[in-house]
Amino acid sequence: MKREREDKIKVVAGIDIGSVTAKTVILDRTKKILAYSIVEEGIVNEESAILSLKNALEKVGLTEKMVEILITTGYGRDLVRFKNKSFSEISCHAKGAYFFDPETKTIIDIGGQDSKAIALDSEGKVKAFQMNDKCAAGTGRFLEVMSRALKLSLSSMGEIAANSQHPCHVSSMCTVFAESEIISLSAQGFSKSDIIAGLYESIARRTLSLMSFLPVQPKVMMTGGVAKNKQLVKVLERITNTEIVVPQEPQIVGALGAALIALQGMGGEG
Amino acid sequence: MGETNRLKSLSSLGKEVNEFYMKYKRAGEEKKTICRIMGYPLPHVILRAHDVYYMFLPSYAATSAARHVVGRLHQVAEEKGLLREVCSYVRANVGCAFSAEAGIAGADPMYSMPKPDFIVVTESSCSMTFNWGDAERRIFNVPLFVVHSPYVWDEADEKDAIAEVTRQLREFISFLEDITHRRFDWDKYKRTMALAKETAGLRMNTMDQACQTIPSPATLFDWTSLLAMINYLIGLPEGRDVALNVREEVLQKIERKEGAVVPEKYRLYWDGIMIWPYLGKLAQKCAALNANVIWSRYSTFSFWESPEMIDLENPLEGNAIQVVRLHFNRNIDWLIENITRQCQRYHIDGLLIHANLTCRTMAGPQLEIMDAVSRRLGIPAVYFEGDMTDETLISESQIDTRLQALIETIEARKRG
Repeated sequence: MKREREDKIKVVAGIDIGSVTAKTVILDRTKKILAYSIVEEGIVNEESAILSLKNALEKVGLTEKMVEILITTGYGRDLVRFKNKSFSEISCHAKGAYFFDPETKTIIDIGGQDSKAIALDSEGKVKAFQMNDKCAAGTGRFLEVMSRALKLSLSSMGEIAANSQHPCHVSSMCTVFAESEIISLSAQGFSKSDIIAGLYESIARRTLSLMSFLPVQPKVMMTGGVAKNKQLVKVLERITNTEIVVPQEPQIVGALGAALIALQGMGGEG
Repeated sequence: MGETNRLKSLSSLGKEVNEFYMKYKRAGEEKKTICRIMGYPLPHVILRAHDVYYMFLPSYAATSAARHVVGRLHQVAEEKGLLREVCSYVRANVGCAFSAEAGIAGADPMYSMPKPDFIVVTESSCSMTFNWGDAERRIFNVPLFVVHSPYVWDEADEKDAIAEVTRQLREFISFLEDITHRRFDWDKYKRTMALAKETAGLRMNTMDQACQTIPSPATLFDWTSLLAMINYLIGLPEGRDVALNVREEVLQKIERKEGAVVPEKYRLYWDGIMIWPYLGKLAQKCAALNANVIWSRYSTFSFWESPEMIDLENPLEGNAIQVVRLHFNRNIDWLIENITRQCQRYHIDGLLIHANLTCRTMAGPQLEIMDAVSRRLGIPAVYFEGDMTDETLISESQIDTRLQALIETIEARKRG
């Protein structure tokens, strides 16, 4: 895809190409979010980034030509040939989270295949961060595999877990081992609600360990697709003993941060 | 986008390393005395002075990894029952020991190494080293000699530790005389030590001067390549010549204000053993971000790091000092203090912490080092997992993201 600039309307775009979804945010010069889109992708590629960008632009009747600067982030950030520049998801999540709430000091991001914790200073700059991106433990992919093993839809898991009285102890965090463990728990007669609640607790413990490397301060914001699971957020709050805020659309925080960086490049306030 | 401008004077080392292994193989064929060493490059000069050919096993693993032929060796070792969690240097060498049995000896010149006459372990704080030596003793059914360096908790321990290692080295010389049925030539040893002292001194001084200079004329990727000079050529005129050539090139580059990364905008510290299969690629990735990895405790606090303390009238003690003062042998406070001081001296902007998954000795104190040094200097740090030789434990995208995020964080702080 080739972008030719058109002078009349100028917008910037940020695309976050994750391992499971591609997200785009379109901003105008005043930092107003004009549109966003989230596209599920089978495998990280440039096509899903293009589709995500097109979907977002079409929502507000814009074309690629009107995008002055395009910044990419995420696992597949360098796959997009028509970008102006790429930034790490750490910088972009920090930027996006601070934009949503300038009081944010800590970010927990649990995405499709990685998780990270980021500490910010009072100006929204990254102080320190920790990532787990070597295995799918405790991520969206982990929950997907568990939902298949329990023969449940991913979206129904939170509601079922809310009914748990005695969460099981799930010790394995490796996706493969945890799958075997929950099959074994199921065979022992534990209810699905207790098993899922146990899984959520194991994710929360892993997140706590990620956070333990950082100077965690409130406010704590959770981003990424997994933040949409309200029950899991509740468990995280309990285990980490922290109040967690979730923005209205937690999945676009990285793309928003990328768009804000693009705006800076255009001479805006980004 | 920055580019690399690495030291040209190191290019001869590849040829020297090839010749080293050819000589070792030839010595085996001619039934000369040969041995395998694991641990620290401590007995090299003693062996050289006694005309014993050696193979230094950590270096063998690193060289095999840099040449991308280590995977098959790991596989052979794993077929023999070694778990993937075991030190990947050990797996590479056990794979090499079984290369003939596995039918791969002819597949690469690095695979076919002759059976040693004995094995030497120079063990500091890595417990794996002794087990490794013992495993090889059983595999080859040859004698094993262990030099153990006591852990140095504080400065007061150092003197005792040096005396103890010196005593063990004296025993080692008797062991050598028994095995070879030849008297040890102390005069030759002194001459070899003099060359070793000069070579190691040149290395340390050149590194220190280069690391202080902005832009630095060299990079950690040069210094790690230069380790071949210690591991393969220490005590030989050829080793000193390499050190002299490197020094000359470094001084010329300083004079011309020529950096190893052009342009050099960020100066990084590296903690951990190098990722040998990834050396060139990593150098390019850093340079592309205008980052120069300036130094590491691995290259600066190891490998004959205290040559100035060698008294040529008492060479055995000088030899012992080189293992006692090794950073592996030091407590965490010493590490934090010294890494902080060197980072200040070398104007470091950020810390890259590489946790070697199969080297617990190196990885053990890393989180504390990262936390303390980062806080004291107010500079950002990133931590990532990898391995010194096992490519299956290395994730390129993981390194890319952390490296980019570190540079972005440094840049954001610089902008204020």
